[in-house]
Amino acid sequence: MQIDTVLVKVASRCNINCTYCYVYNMGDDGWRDMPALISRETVGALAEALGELARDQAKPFATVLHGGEPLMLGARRLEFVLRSLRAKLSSGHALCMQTNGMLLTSEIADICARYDVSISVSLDGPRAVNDRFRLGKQGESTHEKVVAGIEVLRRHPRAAFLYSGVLSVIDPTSDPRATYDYFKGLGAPSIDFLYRDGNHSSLPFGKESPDSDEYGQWLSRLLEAYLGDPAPPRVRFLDDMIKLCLGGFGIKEGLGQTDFGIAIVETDGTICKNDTLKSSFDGADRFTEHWSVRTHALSAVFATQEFARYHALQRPTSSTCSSCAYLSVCGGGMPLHRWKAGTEFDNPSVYCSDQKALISNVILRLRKEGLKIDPRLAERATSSPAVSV
Amino acid sequence: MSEESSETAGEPESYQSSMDIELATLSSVALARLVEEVRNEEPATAGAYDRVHNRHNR
Repeated sequence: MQIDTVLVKVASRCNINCTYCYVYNMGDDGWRDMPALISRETVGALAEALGELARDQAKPFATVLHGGEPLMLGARRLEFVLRSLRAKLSSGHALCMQTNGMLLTSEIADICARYDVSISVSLDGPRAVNDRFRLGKQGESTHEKVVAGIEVLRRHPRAAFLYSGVLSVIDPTSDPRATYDYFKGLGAPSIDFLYRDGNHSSLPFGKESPDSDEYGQWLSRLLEAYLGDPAPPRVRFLDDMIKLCLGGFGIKEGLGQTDFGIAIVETDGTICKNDTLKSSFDGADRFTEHWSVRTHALSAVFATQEFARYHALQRPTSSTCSSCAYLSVCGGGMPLHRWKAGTEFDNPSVYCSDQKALISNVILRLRKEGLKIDPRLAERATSSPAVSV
Repeated sequence: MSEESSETAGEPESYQSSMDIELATLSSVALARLVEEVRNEEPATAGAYDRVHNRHNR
């Protein structure tokens, strides 16, 4: 078992209230039982555990500060966390932060620069797009403060390292080109667009049915904007999909058939599954065993059968997926999107039609450019009557 | 036969030809970048954390 990511919940609370949030607003209430902030004792245990994992595992891994909102730690506690982690993790082990950007200050940016922590900011697009769902606790706009936080990063002497990009949840009713252009205007070196959380029992916003392809159409329009741009930033989702169609590799779960290893550490030190599973049902991210960085070695946890079963969840089991022409690119999508009460994760993604629509358009574009697609994909795609390429 | 093609001799000819394409003929800057990356990709890097993009939980 090789782990590529340990995602640490340094704060279990958030300073804003995105209406679509999988942590607070999709039925899971595990956050209520967690300390608001990670304690010094847990940070110490975490640093020891990560240092031990770094010695046990040849492959470097990334440690991601996450929440809630990680910057609710405040500057002093943040520096303590980063100093503790860096004392045990060499520069080959990336430290990253995913933040809503509202609390980003020059002091915070300086601290992150000191410990080589790159920062990705969650923002959905221009004000009207962002403020539809990403709101303050009183329903107020968050847009202006987030953009101010991004400007702090852009002005920093180490901006090229610190500002890794933006993370954006797709609103399929928005204009993808306008959103793309907006992020370019913010100097985002990388844009990571995400499908909205949802599943077969609780359809994602904007999807009329599991068979509709609103997100696939939105992403296809984004593809045209991206491929027509003479100075494009990185768009991770499209990059992965195009590279997979060309026979290359993706770099994150949710596309392709590479296995990724991710573990979550809660603010009390509890080790959990990928927390995006919270959107499936209350407690879906919990292991039967109670493991903690305070009492267990990470390598030992990752070697257990229970962890292996969780790890295997990323591989789709549905016969629809195993016979699909596009499996090598789609990979069955994220497990959370496969959930359905009754059949659980044994389903294709609720975004199956969207993935097919986008992959078809990627293939068409690659062929138009004179490129040959991955022969495994080409052979299966042209022999499958279910998919029109 | 070049060194590169001998290393990929097991792959169908049509697939190799896609990697041999002249990047300047592609109409898209992003596409040229990605083709170049696939050319230089090593299977050993599959699943490795990529620092080009920030890591998170999906």
